[in-house]
Amino acid sequence: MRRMAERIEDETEDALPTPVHEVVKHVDFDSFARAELPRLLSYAVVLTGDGHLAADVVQEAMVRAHQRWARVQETDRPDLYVKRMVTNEFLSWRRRWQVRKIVATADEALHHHAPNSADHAHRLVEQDDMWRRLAELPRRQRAALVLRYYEDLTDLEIAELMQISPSTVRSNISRALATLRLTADQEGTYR
Amino acid sequence: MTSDDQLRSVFHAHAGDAPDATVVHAEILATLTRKRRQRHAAHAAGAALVIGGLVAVPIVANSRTNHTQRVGPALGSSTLPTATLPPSSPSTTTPLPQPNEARSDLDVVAFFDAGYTYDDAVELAKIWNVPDPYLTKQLAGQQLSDGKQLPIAPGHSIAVSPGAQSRTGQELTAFSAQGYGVADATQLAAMWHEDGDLTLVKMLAGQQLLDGIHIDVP
Repeated sequence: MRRMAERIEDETEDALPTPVHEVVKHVDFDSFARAELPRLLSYAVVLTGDGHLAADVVQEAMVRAHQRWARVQETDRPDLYVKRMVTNEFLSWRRRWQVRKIVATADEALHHHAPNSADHAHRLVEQDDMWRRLAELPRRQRAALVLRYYEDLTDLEIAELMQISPSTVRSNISRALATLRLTADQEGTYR
Repeated sequence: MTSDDQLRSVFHAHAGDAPDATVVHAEILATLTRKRRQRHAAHAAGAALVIGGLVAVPIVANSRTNHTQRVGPALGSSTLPTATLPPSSPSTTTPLPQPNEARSDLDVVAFFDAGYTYDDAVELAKIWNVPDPYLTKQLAGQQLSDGKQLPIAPGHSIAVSPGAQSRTGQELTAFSAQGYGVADATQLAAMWHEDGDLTLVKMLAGQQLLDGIHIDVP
């Protein structure tokens, strides 16, 4: 069972979750960026559903983190501080968001790249369908799903990171799952 | 497959679609460098406007002594503030005071901190008739540290010569090409009081290397 991390000081003095990876304190922004960018970008691409948007969101967050680096560095978990910034950036992102479209991989392309396994190809098609439906969820619902199923955080940890109540987290996840099931039932792909 | 497993599988499958961290890192560094330069340029321009508005007219009107005159600042111009100039000769000046060796490194840092570049130093060297760009940076840095202004604005050479912008890449390349790394930059950052911005430190060090100056890292 994951335990809650020590409280991290920021504007709202909210706590952030315990890390999955080993905590390394970086003395300067550059080494922090080198170490954390791959993980932040993976999180961001799952969060946003788009590689370009992920890069934009992470870049914005990192530039702001640099501007307040002395403060970020003083926290117990600079990585989680910046992850929260990435999440908030995604939740408040407006610029270019409206014109970006998530383009799902065509079935033909998936079949072309997949090994000669009907099951594997079928699973890829299912994943692609799920990915496309996830892209249509409201951002807060999607973020809650990502934090639970990709980051493996508890409701309480998600609540602290998204700065909402645990009941709202559960509500967001419940609604998101219901929407996914509904759209899957209509398409006959979600079990 | 359960719905939870399916979600986990989808998320982890697409996590591999993340953009190249090296490219994003480079974009972040470029953004930070651009913002720093804009900040310095805005600061210098603001100071020039204030000082120019307050001082230019009285100085020009009243300071004709010893065959010299003070020239007030003109924003964005090569006649910008104000070395001591001979009359009717705005493009050449008498040499500046001798550099103080004990503070030379700090003066060079002050020069770059104010937003000036290597190419600005080359331009200043021509104006002041100083043969060595590094010495020029020391002299200019001393002037800035003493609260004086220079004959050109920060980034003046970039504005004049667009090709000069590629200098940043040359500086970073020079730093790494001569075997220096992040650990060296960290040490230099501590020495130069530039903690938190290793890219700037690498640029400063790279400029010195390009000038043929050896850098000692403790």
